Amino acid sequence: MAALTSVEAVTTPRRIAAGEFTATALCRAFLDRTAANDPGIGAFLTVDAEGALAAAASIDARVARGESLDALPLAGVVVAVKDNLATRGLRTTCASKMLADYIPPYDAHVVGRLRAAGAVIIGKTNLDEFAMGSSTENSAFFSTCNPWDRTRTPGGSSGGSAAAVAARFCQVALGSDTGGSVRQPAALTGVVGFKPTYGRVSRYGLVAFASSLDVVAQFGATVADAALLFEAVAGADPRDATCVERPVERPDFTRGVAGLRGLRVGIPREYFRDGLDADVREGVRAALDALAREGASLVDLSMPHTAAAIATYYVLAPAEASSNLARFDGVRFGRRVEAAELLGMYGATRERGFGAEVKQRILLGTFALSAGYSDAIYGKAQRVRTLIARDFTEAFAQVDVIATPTSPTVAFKLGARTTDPLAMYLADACTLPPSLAGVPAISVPTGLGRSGLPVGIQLVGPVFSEVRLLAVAHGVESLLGRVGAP
Amino acid sequence: MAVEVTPDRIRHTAELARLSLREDEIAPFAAQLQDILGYIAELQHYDTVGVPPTTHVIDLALPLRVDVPAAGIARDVLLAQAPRSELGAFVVPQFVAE
Repeated sequence: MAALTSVEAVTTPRRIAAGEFTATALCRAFLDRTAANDPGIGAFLTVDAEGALAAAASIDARVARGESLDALPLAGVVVAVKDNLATRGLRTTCASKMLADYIPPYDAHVVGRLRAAGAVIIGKTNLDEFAMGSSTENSAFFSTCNPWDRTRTPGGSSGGSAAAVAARFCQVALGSDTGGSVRQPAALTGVVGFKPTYGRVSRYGLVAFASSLDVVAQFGATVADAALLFEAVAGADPRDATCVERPVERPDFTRGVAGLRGLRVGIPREYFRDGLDADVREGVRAALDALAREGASLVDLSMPHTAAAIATYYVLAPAEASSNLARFDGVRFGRRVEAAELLGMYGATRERGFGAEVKQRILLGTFALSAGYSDAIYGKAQRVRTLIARDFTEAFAQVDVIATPTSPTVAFKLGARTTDPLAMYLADACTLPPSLAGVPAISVPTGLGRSGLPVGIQLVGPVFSEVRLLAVAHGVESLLGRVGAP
Repeated sequence: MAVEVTPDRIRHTAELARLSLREDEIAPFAAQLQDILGYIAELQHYDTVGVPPTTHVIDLALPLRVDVPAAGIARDVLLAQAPRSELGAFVVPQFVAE
């Protein structure tokens, strides 16, 4: 039998039930691989070997008692969780000094769903501090390396989760995607990254960055694995008022490539202009040509407000963040720097607790909301957001899905963009518009470029079209093949 | 809309954000914020007359639920995460003059 660390999540419960291997053996295989290789990658902030083995043992005990695993869709599946999702009793840092020792007294909704589904949570993954960044270099603790080339970034902000799946330290992983924080690292590490429609998955227990944009999103080595994780965590939750009550259906993965025949694929020209790496241009073009050969019709489109997305996002997200991060004040949890009076304590705690990128965004957001500027800056961005969302509504009147590059570039060198925020923001140019529109989007690997680094194609669907979008992504994956492991 | 990001503007904004800054942080933040505001100024080129602001991307009904008591997280469990607590309460420095 091939190494246990190559077992797919979708086949795991039935193979454990059939006695092919135990959940404990599977868990140990991933723990061993992580212990041996993660010191050179830095995917994890915390590995919870004890908790993982206990969860695996409880699955094995069920099997030993002759109980069915049918009600546990993730029975024994080894999952990593981004460290901005609360895990009861397990340190949750947001990669910030502010929360370096924070032990949540509760589980995020999605973490509770994982446990109820029989998942084995192996650990908490690195991120840009409070999910603010596109390279995982803004972590207050250490940077994560790309498993394909350790001198390069895995992308971000969910770079730890992406690297963990790419390096096979786990089978699937949860991240959060506010402006591309799952799709972009998925593309840069050669895995699948799926951002559902805003409101599809509860944000309860996700440490808030930009509440009108934050989505709990899924990584897998395959579309089917990412979809399995999505199904397990999606659905209504009364603790998140923006989480919608809609049934989560199972995607049909039986049609494969045949499902692409007759599909109308929109190609918005604004995404294919200057600034694309040759690898990305060629990889995405080849994927589109392959789609056309299978009978999909490629429709040239214009989405005229695409270029406004970066400026819009970098007003709205920091504005929301400046409000959300007000809770870190040294009173109820997290770090505190003592001072003689209250305002001094707030200011000193936040000065010492937050890193430079977080401070910069708090300043930008506070400024954008301040008297005399809020209408001209924040209000304007909210109106332009409407125009960006309308671009999608109009496009979906003509096409079933939209295809774009996920990232304009392949993985860039560590340190290359850390001193220039605007250069870093360009990493999100293709992923921001779907976030602002709230629509679901998925990054699927197209293969390796001439650089030897992975390239991803982003497929975008209308709101709540997850089932269709995942089936299309599965067809594209079947057509293009998988990139394999580094 | 041209805005000049002076050191004093950074100090004032930081005060609004309850963020103390070291003196050596102020000039770099001013320069970064100036760059970003220059970039953001491109939004002014888009015609938004008559365009409503988006505060929410999906149609949401106002969710209602039955108002029944439910168990929350116990006080001592929550207070265990507080940097300082006494007598079942969070402790903060003095903020009213005697």
